[in-house]
Amino acid sequence: MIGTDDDQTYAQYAAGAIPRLRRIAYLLCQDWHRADDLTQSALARLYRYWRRAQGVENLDAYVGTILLNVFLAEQRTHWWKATSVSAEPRELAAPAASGGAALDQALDLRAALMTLPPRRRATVVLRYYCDYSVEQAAQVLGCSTGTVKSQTAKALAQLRDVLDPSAPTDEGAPARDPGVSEPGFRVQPSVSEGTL
Amino acid sequence: MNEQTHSMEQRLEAALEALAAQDAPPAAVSVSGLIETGRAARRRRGRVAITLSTALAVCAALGVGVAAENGGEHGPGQTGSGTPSPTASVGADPAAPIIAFGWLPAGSDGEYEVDQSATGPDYLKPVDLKTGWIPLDGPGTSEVQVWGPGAQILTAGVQGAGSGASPGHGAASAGLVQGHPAWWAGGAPGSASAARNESLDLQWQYAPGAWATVMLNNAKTDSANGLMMLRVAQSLVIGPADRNPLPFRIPALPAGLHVDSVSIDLRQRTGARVGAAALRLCLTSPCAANDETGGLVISQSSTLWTANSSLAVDGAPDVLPNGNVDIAADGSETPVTVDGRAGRLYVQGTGATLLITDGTTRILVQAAGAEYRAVGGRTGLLAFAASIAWLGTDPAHWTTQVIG
Repeated sequence: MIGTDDDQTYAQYAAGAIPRLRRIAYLLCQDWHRADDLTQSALARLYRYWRRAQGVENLDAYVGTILLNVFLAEQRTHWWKATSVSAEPRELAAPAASGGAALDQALDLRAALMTLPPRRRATVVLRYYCDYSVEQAAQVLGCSTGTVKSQTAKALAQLRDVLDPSAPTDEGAPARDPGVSEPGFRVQPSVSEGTL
Repeated sequence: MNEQTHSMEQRLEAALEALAAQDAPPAAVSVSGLIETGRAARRRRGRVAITLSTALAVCAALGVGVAAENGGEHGPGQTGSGTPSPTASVGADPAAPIIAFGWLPAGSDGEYEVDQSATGPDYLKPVDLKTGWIPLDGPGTSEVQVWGPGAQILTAGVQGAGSGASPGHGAASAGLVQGHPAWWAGGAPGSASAARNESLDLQWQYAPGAWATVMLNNAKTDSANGLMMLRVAQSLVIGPADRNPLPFRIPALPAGLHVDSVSIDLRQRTGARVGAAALRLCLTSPCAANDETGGLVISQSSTLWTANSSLAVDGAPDVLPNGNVDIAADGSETPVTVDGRAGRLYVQGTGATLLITDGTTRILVQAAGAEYRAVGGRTGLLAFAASIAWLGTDPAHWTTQVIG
């Protein structure tokens, strides 16, 4: 464990970072409870690396990378490692009482974002919420800049209905399938999850 | 960039801002809880990095001499109450059922990564980077991942009986796999559900109560890949027990300790085969301490692990851009030499961690709680570490004769 001074600096940083990380996590998963879990996991991991992390030039970006890795790792978690995978719809935050056109569009966007595959969704969040450059996003996602560009273009094509309803629909855009629910199952927590 | 795209991007930014700024429920993230959780995880973490970058040069001068391999002379500070505990259990190399890929699509063997863990007294033979032998152990889980053509990740896994897992009602039938009914758990190939999940997940019960799965990520979820996965599943070998090569040999286990779990990580990237493994020893079965604390961990890994591995277990890069690595430790920090290798010993109230970097090989031995006391405390831990033969990170040099 790290020492008291380190704990203090960590606590100070974590307290300040939680709101931002929660918002990013929410954009990724659209579920505030899960956003809390993702934030918790990312910051818990940061704690283990805190001494060295303090020397990182852009700590916020470093922690963002951890958060994204946690999120993406969850997407390929095996069924037996899941504690609860349910067909029930995710809990969505109640819309604010007022917010104008931007919020209306945001609420439409929320549904549209969930139709994007996880990595594509992450690309959108990195590029247009975290304001990462193509190169930065490529580094975080562990892929080429070309992949980021193509993922971004595909995402924009998929979101076009929401962002620009007047635009003609792309022939190649994936079809929506709102009526299909995922087969749900519940498993017990794995005793061996994680490594030594 | 044309004007329409630019305008869409601006609207997207505004919409994301508005969405993220919505009224959120109070945060359920506790900073004090984070610190507690982080501390526990730090204690448990076996594959740990440590700051050794520049200090090693002075270790020999300042260090505490430690026993030579297999019980050689003890250095200062190793006598008296710190005498290592007697070694009583020699323990046969155990074995467990295994799975392996019988067939993989062309191009799958270019980049390969096995990332597995198993819990229990059994561990066994994997380490063929092409077939990906992995252990299965009781209700624990094991899996192997291979980078297929392009960036796709193909994973096969098995889970022992008693896990309580099963596909839900409504999963799409996949016909028979190895004579057993199989399902597409996340949507059939070509379906919108599978596309939304960005994965295909084929499951079948290969024995009563025991499930196998083949999963595909980062790839098209179309029918062609569905057929490919069925072929992979049909040829998946769930075989008899065998022994598992590891990168170290332990002459004898400390008295009362037994093998609790093993973790192996193999990579074949950029043409080089590199492996890491860790073994956890405990006093009780299962380990009395929870998943995050306790146990005696023996680990050997490589400094060649990169920060960019998308299969990183922890989500956090192992190595920072400046090349330094780090370990969690408080309490005292002492330079030591173990069997002629310079390292550092971090002693905490309830345990200690020994870290040695030798070339690209990183050695870690750490203990906490009851296992720390059982091994004989600080001095016992150092003597135990000195008794271990370390075999390097090339899996070709590993041994199945791990204990005794």
